[in-house]
Amino acid sequence: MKKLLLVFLVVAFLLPATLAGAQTTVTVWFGRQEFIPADEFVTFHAENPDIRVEFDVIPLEESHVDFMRNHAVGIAPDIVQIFHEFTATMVIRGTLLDISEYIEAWAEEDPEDFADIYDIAFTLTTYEDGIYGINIHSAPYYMGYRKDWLAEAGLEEPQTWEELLDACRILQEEVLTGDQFAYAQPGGAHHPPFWMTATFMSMGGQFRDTGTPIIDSEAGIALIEFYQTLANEGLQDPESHAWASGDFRGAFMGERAAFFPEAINIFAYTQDVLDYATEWEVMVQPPREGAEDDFVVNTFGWPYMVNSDTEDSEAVMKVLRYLFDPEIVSDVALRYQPANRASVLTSEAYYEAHPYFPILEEAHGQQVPYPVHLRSVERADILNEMKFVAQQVPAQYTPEEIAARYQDLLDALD
Amino acid sequence: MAETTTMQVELKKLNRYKRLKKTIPYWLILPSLLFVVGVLWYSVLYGIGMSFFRIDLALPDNPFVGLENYFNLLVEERFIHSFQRSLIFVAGSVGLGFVLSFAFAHGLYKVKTFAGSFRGLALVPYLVSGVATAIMFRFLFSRTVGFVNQFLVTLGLERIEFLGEANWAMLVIILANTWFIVPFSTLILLGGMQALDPDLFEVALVEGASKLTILFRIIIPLIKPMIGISMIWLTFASFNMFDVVLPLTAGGPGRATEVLALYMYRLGFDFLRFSDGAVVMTIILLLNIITSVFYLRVFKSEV
Repeated sequence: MKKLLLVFLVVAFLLPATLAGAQTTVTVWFGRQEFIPADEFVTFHAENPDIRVEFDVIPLEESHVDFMRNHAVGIAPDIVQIFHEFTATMVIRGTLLDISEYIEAWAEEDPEDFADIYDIAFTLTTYEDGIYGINIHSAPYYMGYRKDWLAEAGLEEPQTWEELLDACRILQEEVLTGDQFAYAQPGGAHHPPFWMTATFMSMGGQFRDTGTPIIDSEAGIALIEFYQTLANEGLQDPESHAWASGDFRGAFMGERAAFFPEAINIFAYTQDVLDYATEWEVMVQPPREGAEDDFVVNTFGWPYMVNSDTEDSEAVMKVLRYLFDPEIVSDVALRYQPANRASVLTSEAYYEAHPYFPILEEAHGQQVPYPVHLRSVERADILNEMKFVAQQVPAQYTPEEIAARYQDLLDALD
Repeated sequence: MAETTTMQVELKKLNRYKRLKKTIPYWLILPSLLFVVGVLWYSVLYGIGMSFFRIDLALPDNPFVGLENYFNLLVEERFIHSFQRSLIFVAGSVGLGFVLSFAFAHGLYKVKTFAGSFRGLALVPYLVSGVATAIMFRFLFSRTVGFVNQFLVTLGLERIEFLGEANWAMLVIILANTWFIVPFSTLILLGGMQALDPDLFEVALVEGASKLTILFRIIIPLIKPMIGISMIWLTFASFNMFDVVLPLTAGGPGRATEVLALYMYRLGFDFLRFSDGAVVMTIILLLNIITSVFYLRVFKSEV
C-alpha cells in the first residue's frame, strides 16, 4: 500500500512537470488593452498546441522601464510593446534580441505575405544594423479641421502652414465666438511632444544622427514662430500650454476648436461626435512654404520588441507573426490603430470604419519615423520647455534666441 | 529549610514569568518591525546606496562615483528651482493645513450630536485616491469648463488661468494637497483633544477664563505633542507629495509646480537616471528627518 502511494505521489508530481516541459510559454506585455487580439490567442493555441501565450497589459508609458528592470533579474517577458523612441536605450542596455535573421527567413519563406507589409514595420525597429522587433501598428499625426466653419468663412483647405495660420486668423475674427479658438493642441509639462515634432517634421525639420532635432534651423525657427503666433494672436485657448491630450481633443470634439493635429485612432472617436465630411474633415499636415521638398510624413510606433534572454526565439517569432496576421491585425486596425499591412488598410471594411482614410492613404505609405534618441525623454522635456517659452504672452524672446538657447541644451544631451 | 528553598524556586519562577510577560509586547511588534525593516528600510537603504553609483540606463556601466552625483545635482539649476518650489509648496500646505485641521478638530470635538458620522465624513478626502483628487481639482479650476471660473463669470468677473499661470497653479496644488492631507492631521489633533480631562475646562470656566484663554492656555499647551505629530505628518506628506501633483499640473505650467518628489520621479522613471533620482530621494529623506526632529523638540510636552 505504501509503495502504491509512493508511486502515485511520484507520478502526481512528475506528470505536470513533464507536460509543462513539452509546452513553451511565451509571455507578452501589451502596451494598451486595445492591442490585444480579439480572440485572445485562442486560434493561436489551437494551431500551436506546443506554445502557450500568456499576456498582460503594462502601459506604454512605463513598459520600457519595467521591462529593463525585470530584465536585470531575469523575469522580463519575451515580447514587450514600447514607444519606439526607447529602442536605442534598450539596445544599449543589451535587453533586446536582434531578429534580423528571422525577418530575412520570413521574407524568403513567404514573399507574398512579406510584400504586403510596409517597410516601416522593420525600419522603425532598426537600430544601427539590427532589427529588434516588429512595428505592427504605427500612425502619423494628421490634421482634423472644421469643414463647415471654413466654408462659412469662404476658405479652402490650407495647403501650407502659412495658409493654415491665415485661415486661423480669419476664423478667429469672422466665425468663432466666446470660448472657440482656431487651433487646439496639448501643452502639458509631462506630455510627450509628439504633436510638436510631427509639425516640425512636416515643416522640413531635420535631425542629427544621434536623433537630436536641429531647432536652430529655418524649420525650427518657423516652428517657434508658429507657436508664438498662435499664443500672441489669441488663436488658441490661453490655457492650452497647460493642456493634456484629453483637453485639446475635447476642445475639438466639443466644438471649441477649428483645427487639431491628431491621429487616426482619435479620428475614429471624433466621427462618433461630429458628422464626418459635413462638419469636419481630415488632411495631411501641410508643408512649410518654400520647403515643400523637405516635407515628410512623421510617424510614431508601438512596436513589439523581443527580449534578448528569450529561450525560444522561434516560438516568439510565431507569436509575432500571429499578431501581424492579416485577420488578427485587421480587428485591431478597425477599432483602434492602423496596421502596417496594405491588404488591411485597403480593405472595404477599413474604408467603412475609417471613411477619411482614402485621403490619408498615400501619406500613410510614406511614413518616416520620429528618430530615436538615447535620452529621448530628456529630449522631449527640453522641447516641451522650448514650446512653453515660445507660447509666453507677450513674447519674451525672439524665435532665433529661443532656438539658439534650446539647441545648446539639446546638443548637451549628445 | 526545604520550605524556604521551595519558596525561592517559586519566587524565581514568578520573576521569570514577569520578565517574560514584559517581553510579550516586543514579540508582538516584531512581525511589524521586521516588515518595516524588510520592506521600507531595505528600499531606503538600497536607494541611498544607489546614489553613490552612476546608474543611468542610457549608459552601459554602473560605476561607483562616491558623492559626485550629489555635487552635480546640488548645483543644477533645475534642482535648485525644484527645491525652492517645494519649500513654497510645503510651507503653504503646512500653514493652511494646520489652521484647517485644528479648526476642524476643534469643531468635531465640540460636536456632540451625530459626532461619529461627522468624524467619519471628515475622513472622506483622505480615503479618496490622490489621482481622483487631482482630477477633481483639475475640473474645478479649468479655465473653460471649471466650476470656479464658471462662478466667476456668473459674478461678471474675468476668468482666471488657474492652471496656466505659475502662481495660481502653485495655489491650486497647495489647495488640492491640503484637501488630501488635512483629514489625517485632524484625526491626530482630535485624538489629543479627546484625551483632555473635561474637568479642566469646567474649573477654568468657574475661575472666569474666556474661551480664547482656554484655547491658548489649556488646550494648545496640553496637546502640544499631538500638534508636533500633526506637523510632522503635514510636512512629510507634503514633501513626499507626488500622486496629486503629477495628474493635476504635471509640474507645469513650465516648471512652476515641479516639486522635489515630482522631480525625483522624472529623474528616475522618465530620464532613467536612477542614481540621480536616488540623490533627490535622500535629500527629501534628510529634509523629513530634520523637520521631524525640529517639531519634536519644539512641541515637546511641558506637562
